[in-house]
Amino acid sequence: MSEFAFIGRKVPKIDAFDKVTGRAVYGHDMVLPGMLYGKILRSAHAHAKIASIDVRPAFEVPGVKAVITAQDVKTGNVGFLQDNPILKGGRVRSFRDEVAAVAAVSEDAAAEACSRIAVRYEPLPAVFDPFEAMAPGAPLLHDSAPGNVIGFKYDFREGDPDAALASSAFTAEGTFRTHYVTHCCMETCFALAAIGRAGSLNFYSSTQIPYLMQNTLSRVTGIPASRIRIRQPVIGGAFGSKLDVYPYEIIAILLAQRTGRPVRITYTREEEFACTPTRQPMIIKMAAGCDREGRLTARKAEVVLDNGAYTSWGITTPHIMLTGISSLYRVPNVSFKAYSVYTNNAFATAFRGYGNPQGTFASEQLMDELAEKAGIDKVEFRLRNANEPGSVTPQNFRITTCGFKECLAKAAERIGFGRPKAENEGVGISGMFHVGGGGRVYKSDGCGVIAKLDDFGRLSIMTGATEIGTGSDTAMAMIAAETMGMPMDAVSVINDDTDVGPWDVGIHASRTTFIAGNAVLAACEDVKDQIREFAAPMLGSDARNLVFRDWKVCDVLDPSKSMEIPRVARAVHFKEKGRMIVGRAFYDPPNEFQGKDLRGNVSSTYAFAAHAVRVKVDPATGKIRVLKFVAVHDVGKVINPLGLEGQLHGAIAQGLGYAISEQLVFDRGRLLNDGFTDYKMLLARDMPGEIELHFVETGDPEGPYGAKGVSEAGLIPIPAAVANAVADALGIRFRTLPMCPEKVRAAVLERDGAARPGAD
Amino acid sequence: MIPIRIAVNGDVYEREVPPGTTLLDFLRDGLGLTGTNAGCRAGDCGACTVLLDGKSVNSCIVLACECDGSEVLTIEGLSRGGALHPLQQAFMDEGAVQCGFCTPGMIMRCAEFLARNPDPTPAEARAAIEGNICRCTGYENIVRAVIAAAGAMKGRAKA
Amino acid sequence: MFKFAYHKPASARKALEMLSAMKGKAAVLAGGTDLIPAVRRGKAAPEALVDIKGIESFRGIGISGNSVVIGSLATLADLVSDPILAEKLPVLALAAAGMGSPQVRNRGTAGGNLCNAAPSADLAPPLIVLGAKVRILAPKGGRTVPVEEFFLGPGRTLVSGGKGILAAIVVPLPKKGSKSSFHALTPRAAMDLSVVSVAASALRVGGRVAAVRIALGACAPVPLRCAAAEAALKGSPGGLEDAARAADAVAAAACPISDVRASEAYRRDMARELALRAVREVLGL
Repeated sequence: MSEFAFIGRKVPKIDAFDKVTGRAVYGHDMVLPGMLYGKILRSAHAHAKIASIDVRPAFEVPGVKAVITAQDVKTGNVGFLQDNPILKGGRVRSFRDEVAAVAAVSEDAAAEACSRIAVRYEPLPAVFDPFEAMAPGAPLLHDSAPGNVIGFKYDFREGDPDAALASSAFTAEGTFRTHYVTHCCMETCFALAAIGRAGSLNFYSSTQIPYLMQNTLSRVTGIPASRIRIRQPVIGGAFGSKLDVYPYEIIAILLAQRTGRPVRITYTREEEFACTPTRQPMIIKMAAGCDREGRLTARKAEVVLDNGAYTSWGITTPHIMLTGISSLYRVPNVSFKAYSVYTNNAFATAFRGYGNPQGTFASEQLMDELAEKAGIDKVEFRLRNANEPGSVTPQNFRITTCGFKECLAKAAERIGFGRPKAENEGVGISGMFHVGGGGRVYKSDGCGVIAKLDDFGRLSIMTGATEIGTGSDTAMAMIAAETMGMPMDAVSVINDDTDVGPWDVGIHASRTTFIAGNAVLAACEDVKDQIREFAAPMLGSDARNLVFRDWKVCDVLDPSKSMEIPRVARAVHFKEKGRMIVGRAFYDPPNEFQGKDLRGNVSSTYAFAAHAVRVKVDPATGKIRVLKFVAVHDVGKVINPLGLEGQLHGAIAQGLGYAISEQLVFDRGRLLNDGFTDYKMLLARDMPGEIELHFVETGDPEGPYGAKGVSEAGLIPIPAAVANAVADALGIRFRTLPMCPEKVRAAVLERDGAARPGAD
Repeated sequence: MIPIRIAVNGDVYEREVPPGTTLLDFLRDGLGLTGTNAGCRAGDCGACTVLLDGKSVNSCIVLACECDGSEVLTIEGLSRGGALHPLQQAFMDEGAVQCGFCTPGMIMRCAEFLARNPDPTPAEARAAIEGNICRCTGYENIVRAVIAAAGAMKGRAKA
Repeated sequence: MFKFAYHKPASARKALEMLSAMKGKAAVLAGGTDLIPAVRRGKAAPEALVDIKGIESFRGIGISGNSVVIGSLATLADLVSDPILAEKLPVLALAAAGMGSPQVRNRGTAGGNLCNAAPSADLAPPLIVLGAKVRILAPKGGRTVPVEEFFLGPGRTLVSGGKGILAAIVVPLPKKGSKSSFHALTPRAAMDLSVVSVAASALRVGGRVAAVRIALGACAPVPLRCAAAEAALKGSPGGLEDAARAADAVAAAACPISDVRASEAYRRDMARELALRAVREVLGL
């Protein structure tokens, strides 16, 4: 029997009832009285001067209430470097650029009006490759970036990797290229802006960062942040895509201000594909070395990022990419350089794993190659280099709990490493290192919780920690119920309103169960202390002996002394000088903000995992079939097996899609596949024939009930593990993603063609 | 405008609809049944699946005027008398729900499937949802939920 | 919401009258799985839709004389589950089962798949190798033409522009002992359009290939019947080398395009590979 009532047990999501009955209210479902529909006209060119815009024809469409262009509005820009104007005036730099916007009484009228706006462009030379963009004479995108190279760069160095590589017994190197993929949230983007009393703003959003959004909306629109209230309806997927503020959101506000009516903008699926930011594409040049015994000596990486035309979080993905490069396995000498180049392509933002899948795709393939050169079994090679508890990595990450070796050994055993395999079958393995205890990338990595006990003994958890579908609010409710000794259905989570919930930095970095979970835990302890204070005299007990179980407060020494929590709540409330029991906490983890040297313990604990896959490749068509997938994760402690499984299954689907099938295809900056037919996400029948999940519980001392973050970890090692398996099957190393059938087939033809002359 | 007579979740509506109104928009905007979600409006994702005369269809590519004289069942009509349909219960219990946007369409698709195939294998359940996209769950727990629901329905039929 | 008029005639005669009166500005609506998305994206802009689902004579699958008659309104789901097809023409059920999703198959029709005339229309290659014909109704009388002659180009057929309506597909019952196969290459198991598809049928008599048909999809503006490949096999012993020669001929007949789904070279390569698989299957190799 488990010592816990809820922790570690399969608990259905607390929002599942509304979702299975169709009662959940998403942004798409929100209609306010008098609401108008906004629509955006986008650029017809990858790069052009706007010579003129005539909006008059748009007003001829019945029901049009406002049309705006850059001339009509005064706002700041958005984006990490604030280089993205809300509406583009003089110049467009990519096909997604916002040129004009309309508010009308219906979606149809707004779309019709947009189509009638006459824009005259003078096309400019455009550039779609970062290396071409750096060449002399290339078109310049922003005056702030001479040669299109952005000044915001990464440079990390530990030891002397060049010398270490030179003296290594074995080295491996390669240039790896990763491609454009997109989040594909099932609910397309929406924004609903309503202007209230004295110019205040009610903004309905599926954002992952409600409190940072207040700041950004204020800076850009000039509305004081104290008058901006963000509310979040049920969110239909995010995966990092909603960690920034984008022009369409500001446009909704501008249209609402102009018309005095609420305005909702909802993307079509085609807009969602063509206009939302992507995962950051990268060109990674990496080298690694080891000594005769297979001990890693050095890792060296130079990374070029295609920044696209504007800058969102994509430019900062090297930050997390570096964590894996410096700290996955014990590497004494590390150097890392990364910079971003403006092009007329799509721009990138955060996406589950944040640069780490790209870096791991390179580093874990080189691990295989080094093992081969050193003549050491690939699993043994990894075990020799695996991180250990109590170690410190080159970036000064302090590894506390670490079940990495167990993960590697289990994954290898379950996939059948080293056992005979059929023709064109292969097995591959990859390790994974990621933040698991928050990630201090902002001034605060904290989360606040108010826990209100009502007269019926019900506990309301009010917090800023957002639920995007992952089940984090269920984990919070479980932690509250466990800590309070209460039933699950006596706990509710209210986390959809910045006027209600205390601050949270946002749902990113796999942090919410860890950080918000700790905040809930602390707020519940506060509630318990308050209950003890009142209950002790009533029960005639020592407060220190009072424990909480079965929705009661009980004397641990004398079971006859107990009182139901609802009764306690009422007794405290309804008396002279009565009070209410309200607990509160703000948990900011003991992690460090990194300095310019990129050193500092950015997370209060770290997640480890190993994935192993068995693939079968059809060399005649190039199709890869994943026969079996084994994922083993050091999760600290399983909070909710249902939620944990779901996070990993979903990550496997996304990660395999990233590895073998998904790709946004552009022709000179224009997207060619803006629908689900030609953007090949894996569907139900494309999933691996067999999936095994195993968990190593290392009981992290800083985690709530010992848990670590996991949501990104499930995706990170997948492209590398698949590439290693395909190499095992075909003897061909894929350094470019995705490993789609046509590319695999071409490589097989090349391999066989090269083999033929010798044989003939 | 085209006059139609349509039964939705057992209630008969007599309405006039513009010819271009999809069944999806009729349900969402005309009847306020927002449980049916619009994922792509191209028939590619299954989020808007409803039962039209007992068959699962993508309501985004069916016109409301085509449904004159038809019976439509949406997620709101699946649970009767306060009791959840076994599929709804199983989706909750097996962790088949994450962001939930695909869930109503997924459940409606499976409602037709289980009506035709009350004793499916996991492979058959997987094939049944081949046209419903989920970006969150990787489908594994959905397949498990469909099998669990089939079991519950058999148990209920016996009792 | 889209702007068009909607008519639902109860008879074929009435439907033909409407189509002629609209002079090519009306489109025939059957399942709508291709047409409605095309209208939404502005790829089609009919002024009126003529819904033929009220025409009872276009429904049903049955045997008439030596043929199976498939009403143009038979859904893809009907093709998958129909007992007659399962027994007599399993290759059609196989092709239909691979198309779209259950929801699409519940709605999409056999006639619609042909009339939409995508080069990748998956019913076309198997129908061609089965020797099927389409029964066309037109204002000036009807006619019956082989399926391979029905297509004029991408999205264009003998009935495009309101010139007629496809009423039924007539498939001769295969000769005893003949076999047919269908191989389609899609990146995913469902919800995909074929990158390449190949169908083949063959009858061996006395150690020779007495009859053979091979058809190729998604490798030309229209589904192709590959005469050279058939010639390579007909009368031959039907061994592995013959199959390989036929596959080479299929690849040579292919004139594919490069698009977002595949390059011209990959399509040609896959045409050969799928042809080899399709031919080997019907020859029992």
